[in-house]
Amino acid sequence: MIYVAWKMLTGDRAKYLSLVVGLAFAVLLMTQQGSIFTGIMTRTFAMVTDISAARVWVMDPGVQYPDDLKPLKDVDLPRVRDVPGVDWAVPLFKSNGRAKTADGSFQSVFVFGLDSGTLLGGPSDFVEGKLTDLWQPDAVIVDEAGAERLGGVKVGDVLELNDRRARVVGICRATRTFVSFPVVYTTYSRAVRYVPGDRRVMTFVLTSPKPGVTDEELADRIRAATGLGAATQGQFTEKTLRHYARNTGIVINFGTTVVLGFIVGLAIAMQTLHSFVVDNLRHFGTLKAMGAGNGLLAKMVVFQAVVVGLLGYGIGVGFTALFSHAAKRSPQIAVRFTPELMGLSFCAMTVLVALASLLSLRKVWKTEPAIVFRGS
Amino acid sequence: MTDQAGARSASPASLPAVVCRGVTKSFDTGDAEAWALRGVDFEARRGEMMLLAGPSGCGKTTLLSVIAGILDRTAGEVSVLGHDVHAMSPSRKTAFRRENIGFVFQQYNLVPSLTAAENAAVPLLLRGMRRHEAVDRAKETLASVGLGELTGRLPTQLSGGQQQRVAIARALVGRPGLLVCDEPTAALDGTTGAQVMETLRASAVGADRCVIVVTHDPRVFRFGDRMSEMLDGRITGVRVPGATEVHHA
Repeated sequence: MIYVAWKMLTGDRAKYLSLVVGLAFAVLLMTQQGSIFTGIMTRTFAMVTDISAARVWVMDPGVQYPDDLKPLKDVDLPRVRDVPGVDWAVPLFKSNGRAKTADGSFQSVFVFGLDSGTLLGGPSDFVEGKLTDLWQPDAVIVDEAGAERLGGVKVGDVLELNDRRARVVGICRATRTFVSFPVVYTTYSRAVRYVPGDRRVMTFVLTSPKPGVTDEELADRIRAATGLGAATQGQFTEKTLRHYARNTGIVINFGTTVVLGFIVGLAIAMQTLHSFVVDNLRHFGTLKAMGAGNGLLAKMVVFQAVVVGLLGYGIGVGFTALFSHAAKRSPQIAVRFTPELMGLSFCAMTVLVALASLLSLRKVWKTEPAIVFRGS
Repeated sequence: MTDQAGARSASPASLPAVVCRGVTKSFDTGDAEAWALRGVDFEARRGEMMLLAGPSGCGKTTLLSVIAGILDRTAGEVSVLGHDVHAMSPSRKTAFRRENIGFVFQQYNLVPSLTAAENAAVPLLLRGMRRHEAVDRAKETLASVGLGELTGRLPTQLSGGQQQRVAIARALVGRPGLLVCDEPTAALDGTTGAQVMETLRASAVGADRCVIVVTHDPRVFRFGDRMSEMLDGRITGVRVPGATEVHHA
């Protein structure tokens, strides 16, 4: 009878397509909004994940997120290095700077100062140039999206960074920051010169555990031994997300849109599936009269709902993936379509189809088979 | 009309296939109860085609629905093929219909996206038969009603008469003991209606099968072995079509 259900479903091409398109639209709405939300949230902790070599981040205990710049004392670096289990520890400078673009306008930038010897914490994905080019005089590396915002600077161009000369030696790919400032990488000592000010300049200490010590263990040890804040990549990411969730309206605002997408999707799915079932009520009634039990009819309706649900899901997810792929070219659009989001939207789709099936099934179950004896 | 004549010779003493005693059916219309059946006594035998005739709204279709077990009676006894259908649980009743009753509807009720053979195979599919086997058997049944060449056509590619013959094949394919037909010619012109009734007589009426046809079309009366006449929820009489003598119920 599954074959009959399939033929009933696909027999009327227009209805079948409208069902699939309706559900695909619902999934697209949920996943597209979800992926933009994920993309924006990813930007809040982009620095943490981009500097993947740093498995434990050490910071002022009051730091809540990567852009929360609370400097450490210079002596904190050797204190961290002395903690048992630390394989290596390097300083990272992060500050806001002001760059003068080719057309004479000014653009706020993030300046990253990397440990001059190891260049740990530097970018790894380059459009042009390489990390060790930072050892050249006045050298800076600019992220690809930032280079555009700085007037399309290229390798070889010279910038003014807080009135000091900076020569672009590389263009790298990095996840855009939440506030979308260009990111300028240079050596630690040069960065301090570019952004003079406080006596305390070190923003983070990046560390990694020795073999046999877990990231969590090392973070615990550093916190206990130094009184500083220490977090693994995952812990820092979570902390950042919690901060944005508590202190900005982004989760509520985007959450509302995603929930709205789910509700609209549910309404579309229920309406289309329900009207499909109502259109076929006479046939379900006929089958009921001929001896089809409610269980069999349920199987048929659920099969039809699952087929259109899976097709709609596939198309909706496919379009979101295409959108996500296309958006990668535009640094303005924050999109991150993750397997987790795919899984979540699949669960949402399952709930949606289940609810829509239940509503339709009620109609089928309540149908008196005697309706088939009415002439009209 | 050889088959018709053959069927007409079925012994009056044949076993009863359907027996109704004092059957009532009321519908709650909100303010009051509307009585569709008011104590119906009815009997149809194996090997005969029994017509159930009367004006619109007299309760024919309600009685047919009660006999077929798709509508619960309010009171009374209903025995179908020796079983008290209304004493059965809903699932058992459903299974009973699946195994023992064939249906022919006024509007054919064919699934538009299934071919004639696939439509006719549905009762076998409901019994769990494999699709290819069911369709093969449905093709044989379609051939028996004169549609052997049209098994691959969709309902929209068939005339009204042909669609009704597909519906007859669908009703017969499971070899049920009882066939219930609701106004099978109502949507057809006179000639086509007569052809459909001939097909029904020739292929459906057999020694072990009882065929009940609800109709208000006098042109099909001649195809029945007996005819029960209904009025206002009651059987008013039973007669042999063409005969003048009426046995009052």
